[in-house]
Amino acid sequence: MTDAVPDWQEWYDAHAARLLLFARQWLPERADAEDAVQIGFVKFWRNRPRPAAADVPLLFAAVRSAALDLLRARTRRERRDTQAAGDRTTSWWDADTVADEERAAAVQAALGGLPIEQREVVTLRIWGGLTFADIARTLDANINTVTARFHSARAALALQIQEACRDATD
Amino acid sequence: MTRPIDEDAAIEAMLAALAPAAPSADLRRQVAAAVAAPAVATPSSLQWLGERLLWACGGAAAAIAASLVLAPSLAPREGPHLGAGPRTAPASIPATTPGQVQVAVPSLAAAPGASGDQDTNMKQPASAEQWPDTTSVAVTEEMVTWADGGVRFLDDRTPARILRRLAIERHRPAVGQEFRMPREDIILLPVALH
Repeated sequence: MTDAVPDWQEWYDAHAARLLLFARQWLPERADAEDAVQIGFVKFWRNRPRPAAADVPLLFAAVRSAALDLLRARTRRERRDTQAAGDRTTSWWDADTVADEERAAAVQAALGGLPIEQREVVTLRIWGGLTFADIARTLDANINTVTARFHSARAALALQIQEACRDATD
Repeated sequence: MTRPIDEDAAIEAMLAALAPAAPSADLRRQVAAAVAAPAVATPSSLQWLGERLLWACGGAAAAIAASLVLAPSLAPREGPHLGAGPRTAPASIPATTPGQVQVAVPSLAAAPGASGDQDTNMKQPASAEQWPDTTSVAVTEEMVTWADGGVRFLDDRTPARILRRLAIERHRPAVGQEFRMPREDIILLPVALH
């Protein structure tokens, strides 16, 4: 075995932001999404203390599972409507300029309008950097289904973003 | 409707240009603490099965123990009966109330050695001399059936399985005729609901 033992911080630094964005597809509040990332990451690391690059889909799958569990728990407690909306409006992306902020807001609104099945595929593909095969593995879905969802989501996003840009210029 | 490939690539590039927001520093600290903490052992499926089997065996052992303690042995036994219910009158009991006498006397009146007719004996209070020597009463038991009364809540909180054991006891006193007496034991077996 020539591979060095990977440090969890290495994996955390490489994937934490992407995992947080992924978790926010179910849990828009930042604190809730961070809880899901923590639970999923720790669970993944305990199961795979020496992960390989091929294990990245499992990491996303662990966070997805944690996010769904938290979402169910939150629904049971009926806390959704009582949560403050402040974190929900926080941008999901870093934006240094006003133009970036506007673009990020437009993408966030467009992404939020997609069905969750399409949102998770787009997030994993665009910002997670996974292949369609890896996405299918993460979601335990057929690769053709995943590909079709991505194409539909991309078309819908393009349309909505174009409309948002047109409204902004008018 | 088909879309130009350039347009698809452009939208993907525009989306990918957005960098996901970094998580808070608190998350890093919490993850570090959680990774460093020893993992809490979660029961595997085999452990889960073993625990359930342990509960089941424990319940069965408790039922057997309860039946051994509460039920008389199948072999004939000698001596006065110490269980519940008036089966034979103890020799040390003197003549007391008429109620007690009316319960005990009918079986004694049929004894060959008893003097006088039955009606007279029932009306007169029994004296200590009239009681037979019950130290030599032989009791055999014939088990009839077990009945499961299901699980009930005792005092609305504790679940317990109700087992009914029906048996026939044959009493063979040293003096007097043999008689049979039905016996029902009710066993409350605490159970755990999962």
